Amino acid sequence: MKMLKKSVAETATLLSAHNVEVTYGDGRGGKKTILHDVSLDVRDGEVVALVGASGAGKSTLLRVLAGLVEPSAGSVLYRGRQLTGANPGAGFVFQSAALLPWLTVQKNVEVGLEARGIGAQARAEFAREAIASMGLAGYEDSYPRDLSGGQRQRVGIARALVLHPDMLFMDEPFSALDAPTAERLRREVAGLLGSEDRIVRSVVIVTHGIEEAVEMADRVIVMGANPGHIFHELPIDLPRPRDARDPAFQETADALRALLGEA
Amino acid sequence: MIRVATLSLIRVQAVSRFEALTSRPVRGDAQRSFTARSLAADALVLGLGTLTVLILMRAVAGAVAPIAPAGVPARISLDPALLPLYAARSVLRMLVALACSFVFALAYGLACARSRRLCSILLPLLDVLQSVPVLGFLSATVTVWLALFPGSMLGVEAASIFAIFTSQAWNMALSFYQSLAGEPAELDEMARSFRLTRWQRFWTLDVPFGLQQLIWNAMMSMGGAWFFLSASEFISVNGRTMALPGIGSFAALAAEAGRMDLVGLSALAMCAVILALDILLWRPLTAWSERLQGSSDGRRSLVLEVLRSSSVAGAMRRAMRVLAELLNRVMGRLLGRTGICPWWELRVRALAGRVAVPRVVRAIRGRTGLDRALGILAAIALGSACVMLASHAGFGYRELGDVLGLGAVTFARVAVVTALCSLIWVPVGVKIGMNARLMRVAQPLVQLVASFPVSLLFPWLVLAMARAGIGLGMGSLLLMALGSQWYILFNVIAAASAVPAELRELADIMRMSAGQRWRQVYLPAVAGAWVSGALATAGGAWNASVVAEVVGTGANAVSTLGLGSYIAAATTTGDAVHAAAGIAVMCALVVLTNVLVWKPLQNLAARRFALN
Repeated sequence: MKMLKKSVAETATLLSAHNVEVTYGDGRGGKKTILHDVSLDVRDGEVVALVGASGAGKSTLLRVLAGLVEPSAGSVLYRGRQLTGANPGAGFVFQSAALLPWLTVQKNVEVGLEARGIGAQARAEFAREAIASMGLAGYEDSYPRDLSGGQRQRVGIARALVLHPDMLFMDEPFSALDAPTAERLRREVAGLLGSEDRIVRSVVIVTHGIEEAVEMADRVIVMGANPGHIFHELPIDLPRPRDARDPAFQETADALRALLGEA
Repeated sequence: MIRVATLSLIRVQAVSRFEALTSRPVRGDAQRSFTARSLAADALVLGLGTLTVLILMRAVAGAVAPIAPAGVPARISLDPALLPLYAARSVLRMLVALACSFVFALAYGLACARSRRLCSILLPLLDVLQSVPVLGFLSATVTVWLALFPGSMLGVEAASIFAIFTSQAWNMALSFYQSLAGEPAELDEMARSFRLTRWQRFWTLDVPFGLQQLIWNAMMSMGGAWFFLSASEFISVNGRTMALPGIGSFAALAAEAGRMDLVGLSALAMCAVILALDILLWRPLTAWSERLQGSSDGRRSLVLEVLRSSSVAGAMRRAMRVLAELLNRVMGRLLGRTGICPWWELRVRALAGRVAVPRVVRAIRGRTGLDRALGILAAIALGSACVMLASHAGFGYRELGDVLGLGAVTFARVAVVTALCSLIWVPVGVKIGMNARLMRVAQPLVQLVASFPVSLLFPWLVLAMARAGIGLGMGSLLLMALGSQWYILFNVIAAASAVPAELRELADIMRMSAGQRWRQVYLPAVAGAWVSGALATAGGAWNASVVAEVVGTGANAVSTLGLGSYIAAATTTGDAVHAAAGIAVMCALVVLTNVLVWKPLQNLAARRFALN
């Protein structure tokens, strides 16, 4: 069953970027190239991790794929159609959670549903479910200021998942959290993504953590800097759930570490 | 007795909110039990609400009355018993103007933030608008207002409200624009990636984000508007004098009649009004907006707590929810989604595409091209205005030279006022801002004092200065400073309170001397805020010169040489050419100093002294 699903998944491409170039004016008439000639496919059912030194354009590439940054050259196709504006199949999880401080947890999670014109009652129900699935039942009427950093990021994830997006984009989702909290949340998200009845089809995650990438990804994209480009692609075939103490896991992590050193 | 009751009310409210947080199934508004306290709150809200409505209706009735056969009255009764009614009329005008300013600020700020092209025109325009004195706006538009509402006092009221509006709106629009420009990138990306409708984005992100700043600014701006209360109610432009019932008119006429006791009385009435507005309007608003921003230990407001514990708030919230749902649907459909063109824009673009764009337009369409074209256009307009003025009958190059000379005199006054205010208020502001306990006490107090219109007391001050042998030439410095000094103080207090504790601890651990502290820590830390404050103070001083260089009307008038008194004289007699010349010179001087002095200083402060 699992094999079948996998083989079907590998044939379909959800998102593909072709020769993407991103340049910004540097304010003095000159140009700064952030991304140079980046091409990347994200297949159905795949978890892709973007890693690389700071300045390698990981976050910019993520935003290009999510339709938040328009490439200066090249194109991004989602299900065969060129993106104009935000990717319609995307859920986005921000580094800082980016919750609206004046809305309750419930209302924050409802934001995207409301934008899609879903009625108040259905909205409330879906949001409650998503909040409960992230382990925050009972916090619906709290405000973000009353939550810990980890809880806030849970709300951010619930807000993205409640839309049942095709693809989930995550921008260093655990890096603003303290180590134990980050570890726990990462396990949970990895579990969510590894399960058979998972909500999202594909995930693109930007991360600094080598172990994080190896634990979660089917494929790791190693990026190099000046200007940002794809240096190497590393497929990860370890069985799930993955255990960091497994020698094979450590081997892969070492390989990735070596690649990062070269990039 | 009432105080005790309301205090225990707060405690109940706090407890029930705590319960709401801790107990899983949250009770809805509808299930709230009718306790004695909530009933008391309801009674209080209903009673006060009805009273307010009755007073305002009385004021409205006067405002919409037809003009008597004798024409618009040039004076009002000086019966002190009428002062409460006058106060209500003044407050009504202020509230209407404030509401208009809010709407204007939201629209203008949004337009600036969303369209870079519009912004390059609208933002410099704000600079110009801010530099035109109230009397200038009044004399230019009063005939329009009178023609809009023929035969009704509403025309005069509209003129007065417009005058008040002009001393608030520009500042508030700038504040909202700056808030929008400072929105965190991630929140903007959130709005786009979750594909919020434009309508939804405006109300769930933009407005709540900018509201606190806007309300603070509105509070300041209202203080600034009170300063010109007499000028906007006792309208004396274009050779006509029209007096609207209000505290400002009362004070002006009392001064004219030499009744200093009545001037004092009007000042007392003003104090009462300011206190009442602070308690009933600004405290609840600021407390509410601070809570919106997520701070839990902000200001408290009794009025807000009572409102929240009454069932009125719940009913209003439910009604708003239904209305909001409806509007979200309709407006969301109409205006399209964030980052995606709405249908009408596509239609317009398609139409525009069919029209051949002239090469000239295409050439200046580039941003730098547009800026350059605008600059050239402005220069041409200014130049031709000068030539036209100079060749106009009764106005030659000599007169133009005279006006420029007067401009130099007032310029010097403004410079001295700004420098002196900085010397005094920067150290005081730093001291207050660095001391949390002092700040809690001093800030609301300073705010109240700042919103008092000292201009009401100008006749007194002029008399006192004359006794002490100080002429208005020097005295106008004091009068100008009295209205505009607060901007520096407020900005510096805010900046000093935001200095990270680590920096102060560093100064302690390094055992810095007082001199080194000020030189290396305190002054650089508040430099940016000082620039903004000094800029506003200078602008305020320019505007104030129109009422500070000439004090009083009729036989009691005292005046001194300067651009302010020149404009005042020209607008009073309705000499459009001279008024326009004076205002144009003032605008030019203000905008030039903005470009040549303040903008470079701001850039420097942002580059070298930004704390982040």
